[in-house]
Amino acid sequence: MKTKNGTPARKVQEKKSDKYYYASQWRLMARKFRRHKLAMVSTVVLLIFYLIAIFGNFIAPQGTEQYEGRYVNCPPTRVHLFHEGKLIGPFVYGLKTERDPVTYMAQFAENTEKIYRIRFFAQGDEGGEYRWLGLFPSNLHLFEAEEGGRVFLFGTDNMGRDLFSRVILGAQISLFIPVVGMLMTLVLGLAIGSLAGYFGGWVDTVIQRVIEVVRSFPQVPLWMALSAAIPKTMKPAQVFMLMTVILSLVSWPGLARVVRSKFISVKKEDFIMAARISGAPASKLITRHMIPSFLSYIIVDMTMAIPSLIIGETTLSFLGLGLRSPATSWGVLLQETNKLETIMFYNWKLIPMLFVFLSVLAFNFMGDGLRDAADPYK
Amino acid sequence: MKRTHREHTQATYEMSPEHILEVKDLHVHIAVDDYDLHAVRGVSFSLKKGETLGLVGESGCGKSVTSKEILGINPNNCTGSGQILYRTKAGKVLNLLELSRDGETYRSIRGSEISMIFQEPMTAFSPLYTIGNQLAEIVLLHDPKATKASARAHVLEMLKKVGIANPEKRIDQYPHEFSGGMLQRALIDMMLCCNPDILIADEPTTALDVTIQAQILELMRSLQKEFGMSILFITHDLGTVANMCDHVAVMYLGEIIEFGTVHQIFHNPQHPYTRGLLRSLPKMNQSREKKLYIIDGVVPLPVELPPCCGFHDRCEACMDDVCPKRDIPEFTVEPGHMVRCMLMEQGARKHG
Amino acid sequence: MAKFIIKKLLIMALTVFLISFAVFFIITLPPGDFLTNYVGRLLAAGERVNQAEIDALRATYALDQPFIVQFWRWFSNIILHGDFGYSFSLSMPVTTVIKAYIVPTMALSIVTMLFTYLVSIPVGIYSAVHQYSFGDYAFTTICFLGQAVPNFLMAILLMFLAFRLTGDTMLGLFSPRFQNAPWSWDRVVDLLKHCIIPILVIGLNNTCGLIRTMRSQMLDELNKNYVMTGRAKGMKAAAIRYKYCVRAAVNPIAASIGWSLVNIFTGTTITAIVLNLPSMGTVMYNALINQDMYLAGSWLFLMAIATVVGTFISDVLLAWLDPRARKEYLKG
Repeated sequence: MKTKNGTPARKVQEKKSDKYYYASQWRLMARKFRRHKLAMVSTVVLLIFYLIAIFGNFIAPQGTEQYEGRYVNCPPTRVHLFHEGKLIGPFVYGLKTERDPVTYMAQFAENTEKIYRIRFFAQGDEGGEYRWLGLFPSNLHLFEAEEGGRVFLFGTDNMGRDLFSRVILGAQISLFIPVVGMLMTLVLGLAIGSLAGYFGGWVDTVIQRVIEVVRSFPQVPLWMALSAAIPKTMKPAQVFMLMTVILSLVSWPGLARVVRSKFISVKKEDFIMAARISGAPASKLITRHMIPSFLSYIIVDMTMAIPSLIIGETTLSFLGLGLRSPATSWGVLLQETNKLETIMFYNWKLIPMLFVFLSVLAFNFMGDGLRDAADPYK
Repeated sequence: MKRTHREHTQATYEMSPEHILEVKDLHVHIAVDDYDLHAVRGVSFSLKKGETLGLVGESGCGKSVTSKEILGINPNNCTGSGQILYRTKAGKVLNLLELSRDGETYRSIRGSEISMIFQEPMTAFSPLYTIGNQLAEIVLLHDPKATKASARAHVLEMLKKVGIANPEKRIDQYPHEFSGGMLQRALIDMMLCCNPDILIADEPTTALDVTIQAQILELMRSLQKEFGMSILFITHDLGTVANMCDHVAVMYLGEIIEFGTVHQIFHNPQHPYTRGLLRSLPKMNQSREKKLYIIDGVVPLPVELPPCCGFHDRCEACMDDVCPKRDIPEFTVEPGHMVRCMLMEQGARKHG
Repeated sequence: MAKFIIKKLLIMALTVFLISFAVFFIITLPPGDFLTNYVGRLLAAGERVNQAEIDALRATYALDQPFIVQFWRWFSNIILHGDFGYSFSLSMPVTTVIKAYIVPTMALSIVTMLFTYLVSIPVGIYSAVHQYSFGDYAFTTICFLGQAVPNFLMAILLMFLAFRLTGDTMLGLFSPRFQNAPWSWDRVVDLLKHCIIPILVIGLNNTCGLIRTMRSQMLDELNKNYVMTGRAKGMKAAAIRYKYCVRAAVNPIAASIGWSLVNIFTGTTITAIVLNLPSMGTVMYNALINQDMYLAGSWLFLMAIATVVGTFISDVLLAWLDPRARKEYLKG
């Protein structure tokens, strides 16, 4: 057999080098990303966080509106397996109140006479009902203590609400506001940036001016001013939507600017010229050729921006400018830590901080891995 | 000179008196990600004073790595082994591979005894300093007696020599104010300021317009006449080789596969790869309907190469039972003409 | 250069006008106005309200006028008389409030910025030159951690730490006994002690970010072709690094000084609120909570102006530092 040039046909040798040459861009990126250990770990951590958030109402023993005045500022409950050397399975002791002989502050202690087993997949108390994904009504919870017992894995706050439940339910807000905000930013930034970059001329000039004005506002104060404008009477769901809108309103110009400049530089590339000469319509040119050519870059950019949105939301809620109790976000939970006494006497209330910290860190590492991967030949 | 204190720590090497540079069995490994690229695989050649040796090959054949290894300026993920013997201006024979890369001896050789000009003159200068500043620097580095003023005067004189018009004005301009051809002239100027014995030219004309290319080559030839340096000319363009060189080494996948005088290589090429390269050159009298010859495929990456002819999978005359399966020895075609191809053995058998 | 600067200034003027419009729009977003809420609160507390006085105030600040008229009156007062309006909650002109707080805010910002640059540039260079060394990993880790902690949490933690170590929470800029004392050596020491936490908190995020930028800039430069030329010339690796690479890597960072100052300036906001510092941030926060629209608006306006000016300074600096940018700017 002879090919066109007269070269003998030969066995195709599968070599490492061939794979390196011919792999598609996305596969190369995936491979490079998998080699970034921290990024992989972070991705797994984030997946777990988001799964927990999605199944939040099921995992959390309490709903957002439940509270118990008897258990105010209760420290984290210890879960035991053995009672007097005998294996019972996971259980908690009852709680009794004592006064500290020196400070006279109320303190909780274990009442080792009472044993409450922890039941799994149990029906919750009254008030624990929820609609999963807003659709399926249920009162099934991952775990509950037996009638009369209380499990507060992370302790309670100053209204007697279970912090563990609140952290998990707060994740629904704190982890989804940034992502939804980012998606809105992506849509806004891509649309506006491509308009400016593709058409140029007066469209570009006007958009540029608008971008410049919005970018002139420092992020945090603008967030503060806009959130302060949210009426205090609004429902949590509406506040949630408004917060995402605010976050994306502040951050789209940055992305639009990047998209615009990418557009302008990519417009001069040969493959775009080739597509244009072969008669591709503008819409196809934009969506099939131009945007994909820098999409990986944009995705990395967006991932890297999520941490600042998480911190933004947390900060605003912390200041009381975003969501307010009984709505829950990690920032709302941290409001109590504003007082030094809280940290000194009830240090478990800092637990939500750990989650903010971990999720920001995980997003940063994942973004870092993605950025390295987006440049697979480097 | 104070710089020579390291030299006596070296073993003594012997070198043919007419040679100024001898590269012997040079290997260079590059660590990339988790691969080990064997970029240069046992290259040997030598350079006489005043001659021009062409190192020819496709991109990725190891010619640039070889030349940078001579200067000791490959990145840190490269490791070289073998011998690079060099006779200094003072007459000492050094094995450059044994010198500390950032050590005083090596640095005093670079730029003053062995110089190099690069493929992309536009990026070879820092954009933040004037041309004059960057040119005078090399004089100040290697001439302990030079002052700023004398270095400047020297640079001005050299700028005139390399044909830069209005050098008094040009000397204070920044690289972005120069055209590519002008920058290449400035680069040549810089690298010849200290009158080196060897100039390594790494594709000096690839990034330039055709008309400028000819000018630069002409400039190099005339400067060679004036200064008498040897040139290691690295290129993928056989046309310029014919113009510039005395000897030619054709490289493929980290090996020299054919070596000879320009005449031998162009008029009696033996290796199928060399023949392919020559056939792919456009010819003046060739009819325009005829398509240019193309060598199929691409240079493979030199990763985990078994002993074989590197070219076998692109070779029209590949002998499946031999070429992919063993090391290929050198065959001598005639004195000074060497080929690394099993066809020669066949030929030898047939003739013998 | 002059032409470039004039053109930039004209664009800035237009931007400032648009910004002021946006600011006014934002601060009038909340339903009702300060006076309505104020009257509401007085009535709720069972106090008597002098309707005539309220109406007079309303007329003075054109609160009964349409949006555009209100805006124009506010804007023209700022431009023509330097009058930023009246703070309802503090019962004094906004200008007085700003004057009282601008000096400590700026002082704190500038000291923090010095700290940021002095730390991040050397560390960034070190990390790049010794890429993948133990030190590089250590700094990179610290930076990642530092960027993952929100400012306010950092402030709380350091406050707690300070309390544990010294028995003083280091709130405010002075200890109570020095609050109103005349200037003395001890007072200065006290002030410096109180500045440590704010500088660390405000500076940490920026420093971490700058270290990473500096590191990647430096790595970029280290891989440029001119480094190869320098080595072929026979330069010492270290000499190439300091003459060429550092200069090139520092340029954009030095040029970002204007922008960076603004960033720190606004970054003080949240830290100041938590640490109870006498800075504009605290004032702004209270103004927002109390719907003190002129105070909040003026502050937001000033921040935006500072950003515009900061960007301008950065542009000019970059043009001054980098011959290529200089050429582009000179062209237009």
